[in-house]
Amino acid sequence: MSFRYRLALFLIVTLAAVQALTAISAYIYLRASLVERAKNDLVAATGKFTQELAILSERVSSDVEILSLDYALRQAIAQQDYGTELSALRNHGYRVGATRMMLVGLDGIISADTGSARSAGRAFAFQDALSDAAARGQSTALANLDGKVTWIVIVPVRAPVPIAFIAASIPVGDALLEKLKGLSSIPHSIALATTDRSGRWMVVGRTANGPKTVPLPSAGQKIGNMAAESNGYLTVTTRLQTPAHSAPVLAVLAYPLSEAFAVYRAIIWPVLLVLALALLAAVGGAFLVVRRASKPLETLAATARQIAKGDYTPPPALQQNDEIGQLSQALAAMTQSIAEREAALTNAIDALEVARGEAVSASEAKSQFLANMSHELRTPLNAVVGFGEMLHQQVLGPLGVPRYVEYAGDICASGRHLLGLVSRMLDLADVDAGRLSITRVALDAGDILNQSVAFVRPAAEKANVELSLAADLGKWPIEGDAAKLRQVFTNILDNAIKFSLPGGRVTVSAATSEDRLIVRVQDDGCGMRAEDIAMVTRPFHRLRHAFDGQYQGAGLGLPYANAIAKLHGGSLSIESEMGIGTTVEITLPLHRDAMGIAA
Amino acid sequence: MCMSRHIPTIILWLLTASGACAATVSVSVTDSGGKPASNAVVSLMPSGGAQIASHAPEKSIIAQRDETFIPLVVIVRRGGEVVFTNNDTTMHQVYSFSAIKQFEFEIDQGQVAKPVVFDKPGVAAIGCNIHDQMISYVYVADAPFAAITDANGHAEIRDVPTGSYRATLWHPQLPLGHPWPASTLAVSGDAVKLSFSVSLLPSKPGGMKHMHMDY
Repeated sequence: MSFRYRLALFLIVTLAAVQALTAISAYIYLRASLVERAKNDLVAATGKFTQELAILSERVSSDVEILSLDYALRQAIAQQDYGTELSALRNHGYRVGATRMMLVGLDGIISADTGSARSAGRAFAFQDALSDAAARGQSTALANLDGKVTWIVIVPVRAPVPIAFIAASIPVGDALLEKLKGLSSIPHSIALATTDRSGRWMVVGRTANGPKTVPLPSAGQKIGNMAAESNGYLTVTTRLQTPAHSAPVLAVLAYPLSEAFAVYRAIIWPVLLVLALALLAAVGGAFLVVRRASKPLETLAATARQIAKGDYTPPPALQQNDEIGQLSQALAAMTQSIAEREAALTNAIDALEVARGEAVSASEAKSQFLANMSHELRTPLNAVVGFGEMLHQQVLGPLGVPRYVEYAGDICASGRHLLGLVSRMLDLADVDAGRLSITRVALDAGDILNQSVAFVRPAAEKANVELSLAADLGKWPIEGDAAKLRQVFTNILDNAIKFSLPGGRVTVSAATSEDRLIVRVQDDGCGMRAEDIAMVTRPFHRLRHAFDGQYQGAGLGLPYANAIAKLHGGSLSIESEMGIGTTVEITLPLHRDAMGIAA
Repeated sequence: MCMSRHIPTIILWLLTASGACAATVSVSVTDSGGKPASNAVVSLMPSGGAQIASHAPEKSIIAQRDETFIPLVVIVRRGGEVVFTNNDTTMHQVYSFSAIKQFEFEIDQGQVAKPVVFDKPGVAAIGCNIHDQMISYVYVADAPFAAITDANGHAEIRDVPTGSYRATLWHPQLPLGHPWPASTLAVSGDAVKLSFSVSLLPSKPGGMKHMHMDY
């Protein structure tokens, strides 16, 4: 992904995250404030509810108070006429909507009860309400009577001073709750709850709307003013005043949160639209900013690509006073510097090329010269050797002086030696020119190694070097050129003997490994430095400086051996340490099939 | 025998003759807040069963004016009578359901009713079934001396012979069911002071409101 898109993506993601965070925190704050407002509304409604309840209760008590003026009732009380008392209570109870009416003496003892004939003579349940009525002229309170929430209205009967109390029990039903609800401006529901004999809370009246289940305190839980949020409703529970011996009565006002959030729903779409537009604008802005930021970078990238392609035209410098401007200038300077070095390098390479061409042609001329020279040398040497032989063998008659015969033998031997050198030089020149070829016949490497060791043994004895053949010379079938391989072994053995000190030891060993034959020639002579090992296999490189002409040789042995080993598909390797000795290893491929045929 | 019939008369005379030995009891009644309590009835009953002729009125009048019984409290001696007069332009009804005397009658405007005799001691609350806010109290005194405090909470009881008395206080706003406050008073010399401090109920408990049921 390009820098431009990554930067744009980063900006967009950051902006979207910031907006989302803003929206979420706004939502949380708004929701909390709406809930808080609904709670306040509900607490206010609860206060209003209790106020309305008090006003209604005053009306109810006024209705009951009128009864206390019934002359017949007063007379019946004065005359202790139980029957008249009961009928008056029933009639009046029906008028005010009371389900139960009691007449209670000033001593707090029930004298008549429309609800139960047996309660006459018993103490009235809510004595504190009686005291309240005696002191204030009337008393109204919500109480749990017979498991129902009722208004207990107590008024004294005056004649004209109080002679008894009327206690009316007026049930507080759903209709009253609906009416109270209707007085409020917020859409709450009202439920009344009280406890049964076991102290468990139960709903005894409720308005039609509202939650399916009214949240009630658990049995024995202490009741204060409680606000709670549950099942999509906000509820405020308040305990209503009840006389001392009544079970507690709760009013539970519930406010549907969906109503509270109506405001939120009304504004959410415009807010989201504004947020979306803001995001869109932000994305556009981000692209503009990114474009401005990435354009110079792209120019620089194009310049760099152009340099990579080898086009060193000075790039346009960006006129910016920032890091990018500096980068552009540095790039221009770098381009110029590269161009200069490139020119210098090209010149040097051209010069080298010329020099190399000269060296190559010189080397070719040398090889050609050597080859030509060898040919040219062989022809007179053949004459020298041939005529020397004829003289030595006195083919055309005796030479007379015996010393001439001896000299003729020396001429013949020296000629042969010279001829061998010339032949090998010719071979090496052929190797150099890639013209040397070998004959390939099946042969036994063991034989060849044996012959070679036998060939150099006189030289070893002369040099007082012990030559030992450690190998059990079996049949090692190879395919190759017997004369050239013999020459290779002889060269290596010659070298080992030549660079050994008198009394030294040269050990020849051979072994097979898989399909290869490894011949090792180890001496305990003067050895070589590690950096010279690579040199000695190259033609004409004798380490003269190390031996100061002490040893004879043309430097052709190891290069020749190396070339022949390679032509046979093998290899030659040298390990040497100064003062310890040198080990030369020749590896040649075995040809068991070829041997089979030969056998 | 003849003499014995006159003994009370002689004693009465003796007592009257001992006017020089009688004192004026000056009574002061306040409520628990220290404010003067009017319409309180203070009675003095001689201790030790001494017989003193009643100084309480034999007859009292309760008027009905502006739908109000006037005065609020009257004293009659035991066996005395109370006459109700209607000075209003409407008819009134008068009733009592009190234990000491129960009666009821109607009285037309401008009329005077037949006297009502109160032969048991105690307090009768008098009402009007037509105007329920009307109330009056008849204090039927067994004691020879009884007086009602004025607006300053003061009352004077004159010609109280030297001796020991039980002083009892009653007030319309005494809490129900409580015994009446009482104290022992020794009377000697010319002037004796007697004071009571009592806790009283609010003067008008629970004003009447005639509203119709509408719920």
